[in-house]
Amino acid sequence: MKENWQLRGQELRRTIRIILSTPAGIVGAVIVVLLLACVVFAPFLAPHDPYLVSIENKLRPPSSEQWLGTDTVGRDVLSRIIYGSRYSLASGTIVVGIGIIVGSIVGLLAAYPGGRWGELIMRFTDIFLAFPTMLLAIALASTLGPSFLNSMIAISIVYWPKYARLVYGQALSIRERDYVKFAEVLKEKPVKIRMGHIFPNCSSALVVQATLDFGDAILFFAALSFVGLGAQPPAADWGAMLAFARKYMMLSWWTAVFPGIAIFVTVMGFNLLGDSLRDALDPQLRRLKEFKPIRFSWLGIPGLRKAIGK
Amino acid sequence: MAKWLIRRFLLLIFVLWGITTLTFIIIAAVPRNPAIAMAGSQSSPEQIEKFNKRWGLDKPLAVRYYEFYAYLLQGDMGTSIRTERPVALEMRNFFPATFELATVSVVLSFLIGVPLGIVAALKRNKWPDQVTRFVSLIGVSTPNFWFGLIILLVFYYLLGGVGPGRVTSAAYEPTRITGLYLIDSLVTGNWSSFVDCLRHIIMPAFALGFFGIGIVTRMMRSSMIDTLSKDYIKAARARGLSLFRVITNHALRNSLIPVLTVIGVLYGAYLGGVIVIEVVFSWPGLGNFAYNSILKSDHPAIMGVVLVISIIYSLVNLVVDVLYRYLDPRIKF
Amino acid sequence: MEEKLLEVKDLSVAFNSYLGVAEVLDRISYSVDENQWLGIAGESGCGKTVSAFSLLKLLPEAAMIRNGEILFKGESILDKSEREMRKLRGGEISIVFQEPQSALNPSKRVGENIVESLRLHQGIRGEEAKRRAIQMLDLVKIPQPRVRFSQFPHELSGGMQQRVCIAIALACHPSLLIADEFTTSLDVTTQQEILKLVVDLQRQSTMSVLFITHDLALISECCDELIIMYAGQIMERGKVDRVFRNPSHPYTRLLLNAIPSISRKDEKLNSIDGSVPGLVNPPKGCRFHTRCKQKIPGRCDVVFPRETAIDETHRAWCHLLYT
Repeated sequence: MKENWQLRGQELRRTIRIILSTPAGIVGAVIVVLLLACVVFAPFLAPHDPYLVSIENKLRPPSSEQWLGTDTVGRDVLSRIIYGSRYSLASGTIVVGIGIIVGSIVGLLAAYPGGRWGELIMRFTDIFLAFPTMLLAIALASTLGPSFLNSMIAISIVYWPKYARLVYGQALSIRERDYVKFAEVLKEKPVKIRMGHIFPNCSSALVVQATLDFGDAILFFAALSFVGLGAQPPAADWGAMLAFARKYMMLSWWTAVFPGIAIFVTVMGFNLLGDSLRDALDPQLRRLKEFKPIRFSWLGIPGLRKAIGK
Repeated sequence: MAKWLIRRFLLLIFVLWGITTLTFIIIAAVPRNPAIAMAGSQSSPEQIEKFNKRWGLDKPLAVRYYEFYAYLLQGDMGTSIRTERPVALEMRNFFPATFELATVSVVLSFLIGVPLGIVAALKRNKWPDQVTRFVSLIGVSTPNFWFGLIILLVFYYLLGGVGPGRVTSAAYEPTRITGLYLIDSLVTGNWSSFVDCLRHIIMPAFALGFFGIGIVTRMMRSSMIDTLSKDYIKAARARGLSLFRVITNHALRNSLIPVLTVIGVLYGAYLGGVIVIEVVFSWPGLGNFAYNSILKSDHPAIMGVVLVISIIYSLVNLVVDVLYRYLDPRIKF
Repeated sequence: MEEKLLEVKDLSVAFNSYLGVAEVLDRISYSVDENQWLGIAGESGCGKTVSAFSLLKLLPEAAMIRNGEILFKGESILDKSEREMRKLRGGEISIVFQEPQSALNPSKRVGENIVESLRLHQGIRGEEAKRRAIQMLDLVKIPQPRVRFSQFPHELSGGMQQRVCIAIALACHPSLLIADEFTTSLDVTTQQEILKLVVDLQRQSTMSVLFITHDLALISECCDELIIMYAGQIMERGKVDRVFRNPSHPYTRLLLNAIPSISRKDEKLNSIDGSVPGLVNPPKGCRFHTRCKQKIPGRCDVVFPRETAIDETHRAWCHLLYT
């Protein structure tokens, strides 16, 4: 068991080395590390209180004192952006986390032992995938009522089916492997076969998909916040800041530009990291049948997996 | 061919049934009554009861579910609680604007993405390829609503170009025939209206389609590289055709065929992503309608939007499939 | 001295690859007379196809011509501009590929390809071009040429597809036809039919054929002269019957022994031990020395042997011949 961990450690180091061998991987990693730093050290990094309203300071353009200016009620934009990283990272983590958990359970149940019920479960999942996701998420979030938590629930409901598809597809080929057959001969319980033999071998694909999705989920959440269904004011959230800035855009360009750049850079970081992670894990992934990351679901693209994955 | 079409059609109906049922369940499962959203939280129980009776919300779920389909088959999608007009009528009003916007976005994505992809494929791993890769990375990483805001900021507020909406003023609205302003104005020969509509649609279409450019570029690049490695390209070169001729006469068509499937994908993306863009650009389309309906828990309207978008999405994909089979003579029905 | 149709002198071609620079052709020289069939034989990967594509200047980007010259009708091909080359390709020099199904554009009707060539090289278009194209299809013995004209490649059998390719190649009456393993992917009876067709067509016109193959039996059926290549070097060349009767290079002898024959009652199929060496850092001297049983250490692996004349046209390159 201990050797197993050592092996894993070696593999992890090798993966990191490959990622850091390309410029894209380095940029992606740097951006993500910076984001993590913002999340953890926000109180130390932010020069001002992100929630401190001071009407006399409203709509100040960027200056040496307040680098990114102030918003309509005089709050410091830079500080709000630094704190906003918390919402973004939280949204990515929650959505992808729930997606992986629910999707894996459904996918594993459907794939092993398989049969008619498995098929039925996947047909049901496919209906979710055929749905314009943005529309569904907005409908869900609004029926649940606008709040950060509800937007997370809404996006997660939209998100899990693609992990179910992914795990299902991988598990279908894994369940034919000898070690699974061997476990069956030993009369291991189906739960143990799923978790002990099938799931660990899906994990590379899941990790790549999750990294690629992180940016996607952040964009999704930002869009919901922008239409007022995500984090609620006065939350220091990038999407919500943009929604607010929209009305005063011609007076204060800085309130509209900088939060958007923050979203853009973050998403790009995760995209770069995800792409190089996929390249690094490629040999492992190639051993498994047809791994095709499903991307860009935040815009509601069900069919993209068949088109882009090639 | 006929058999294939029938099968596809049955599949389409199945998916539509699934989608509407799903939406119905979601809406029904949430205990947020439209009465409160519409009549206000101070309304008395009697008022709410009256409201529910009027909109049939007091009936059991099964009955409402059945009635939805029963009316739908007669072309009746119910009445919007918010606007108190038939949903079908609202769809007719709002849908063309959205469809026009999505279509122009798809066209833009292709007009820009296809040449970029070709250049990237021809100059593989040289600087044009790197630049293209970077552009498509930006395309998929940019929040489209923010991109829309920036476009508005620069071209409307700073440079004084055209503003949000479909036309500058009602005077520019063409006579309504199809509801697609660009087509209507062309058909009626209303040139000034056409120009105005075009100038208005470019900004939202670009904001919406920016991300598709990246996707089309990537697809086109890999497809072109694949085609160029084929023997018949070598054979065409060996027959004395110039590189340009080889690409236009032999490579383009064969490498465009797989890229065409993206049309379906992009429509899905744009019809979904159109909500935020329509809000940003005050575009009087389905997205704005859906957004307002959702805020008021207007069930019939939400069902209508979901249904229409799903139908269009499925139909576009069906058309793309037919087109695909038509373009590639090797595929039999 | 009469002018040769094609002369290749000291041609060396190298490829940039991930592993390093691959020396694909090493100082190749040969010539083709008018109305002649020249066979180039060798194992796969020995540079046969590269030598053919360098005649058209259609090598991949990674390739570079190191050295040598190619004269076609007395003019240097390597000095020609792209525009001049385009006139040559398909007009003067045509090529038929190994796999007809991949050499035909799947989304073009077969006739369109011929029409395209005719328009490009002879300026014939419209109905006249179509008439000529159908004529060509008829010439290569395709039944119902009128119907076939507007069919797609996938609707034809492999043999028919190859006939179409030949029709395309011959449409503009080239003076040199490069046949690159053009029968390999077909079954044996179709192979014979196609080969006979090209032999007949060649007899009817003044056309030379450069026949690239790994099948010595086919060469013996149709070629006048032959070249034996190994790993980018020429080992032996001469009139086919002379070489077959008196193979002078150890490699040629091994190749001839490897042909399965019904008359010989050998139990096992003869094969050559070892495999073709990698072309990145190839063996020094004669590249065959790594597999040659008669290798002379200190000579074969140091310097490439000089040319030895066996008779007036028959030449071989081997140290064994002048020790």
